Amino acid sequence: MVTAGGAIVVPVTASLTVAVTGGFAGVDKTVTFNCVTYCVNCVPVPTFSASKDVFMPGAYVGARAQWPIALPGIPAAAFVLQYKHVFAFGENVSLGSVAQDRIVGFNVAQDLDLVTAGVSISFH
Amino acid sequence: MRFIAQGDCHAGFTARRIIEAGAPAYEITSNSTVLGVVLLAVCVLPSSSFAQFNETGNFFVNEGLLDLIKADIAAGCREHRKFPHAYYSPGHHLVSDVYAYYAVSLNDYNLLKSEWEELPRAARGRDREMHSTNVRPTEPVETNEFPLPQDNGRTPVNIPPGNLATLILDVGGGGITQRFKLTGMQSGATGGPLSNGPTMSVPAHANGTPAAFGANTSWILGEWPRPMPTFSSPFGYAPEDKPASGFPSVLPTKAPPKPAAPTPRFTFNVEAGNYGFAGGKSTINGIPGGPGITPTGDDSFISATTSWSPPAAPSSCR
Repeated sequence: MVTAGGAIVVPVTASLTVAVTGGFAGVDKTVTFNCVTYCVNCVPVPTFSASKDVFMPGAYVGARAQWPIALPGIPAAAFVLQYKHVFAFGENVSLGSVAQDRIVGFNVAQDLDLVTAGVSISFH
Repeated sequence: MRFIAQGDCHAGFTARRIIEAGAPAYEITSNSTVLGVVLLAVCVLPSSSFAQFNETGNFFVNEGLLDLIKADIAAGCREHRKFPHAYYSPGHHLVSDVYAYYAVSLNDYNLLKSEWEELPRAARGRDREMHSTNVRPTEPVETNEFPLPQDNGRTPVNIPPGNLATLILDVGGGGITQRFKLTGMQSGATGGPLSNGPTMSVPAHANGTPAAFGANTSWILGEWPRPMPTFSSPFGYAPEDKPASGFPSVLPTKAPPKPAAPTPRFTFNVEAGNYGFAGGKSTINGIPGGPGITPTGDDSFISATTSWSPPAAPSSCR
């Protein structure tokens, strides 16, 4: 998943800052269709499994809090707690082929709630 | 405005002698006026610029400092300034602990002078002989008290850092809701044409909980409200609770008012991130909305969120 956006950072105390974030998000997915019942129903054909990589554009909103921590050798380090909610808009996908005698078309979309903890390092 | 410079100088000229030598006060009339005059020829040299000992020990009038003093006078301030000490002069004389006082009126100056002269010798502190001829300091003493001439004596501080970048290394987890909606199905016999089957648009979803790891970078674009540059004090203020060491308490040594706490500022950032996921596949069993027994069959749709990677470059092979 790749994101690109902006943040508004607000100091809450001398050390604690919170931020509201948002922007573009793109989610990479691998979608797989396992054809079993559909392949043996009616006129039977060999079962198969088909996959496709899908890039789904979307957006994210989130929040972030951070406060300084002491890490040896890393000045201006901070602990960061982040939350992102990602909306990946729907993409139409078809799996299977004429040669495989089965084609399934569907629309796939995704919501993602992401909570992460990390360390920030600042650079001038 | 009256100006008095006093301090220790080598070769038996003490601060008091300097005063008695007839160079205690000088009228500031313009930026180019010589103010330092001669405290001692070997110690303080007349100059067309003002009030700074450089590395060679010359006493210069620096126009930046002059501007600062004038600004202070205009603001009604009367302060003193301790010059950098322990500079080596070209005449092999060590100049040390030189103070400059200035007053807004002649009366103020006379008061300073009389108070000074009435002090016991030991109380003056700076009134001591120095015998440092040919004793050359290994390095000029660095001090932050004196404004450097190249920045006109005012060093801006608290300027917001430009292009401050932050790299955040993240690990965590997420909850994925995978949504699925059938749009069409085609089937046929082996080798034969495909025909559309009867389908319905039946929304379905499946959940997954992948682990996540990634990096996020952030760059500061600006702040609001915009910060006001502040400046370092051009003068060496004495501690607020006591006068400058060795000088009369009548001297205006009160420290400047403490600055107010900085106003909280919003920071506007741009950021970019790249995350990878492990596990957390979401599986939809059957074909919701499919024909016949497929909605409850053994077919499945598996969706896995992956990390983003640039598209592969087209092959150059022919």
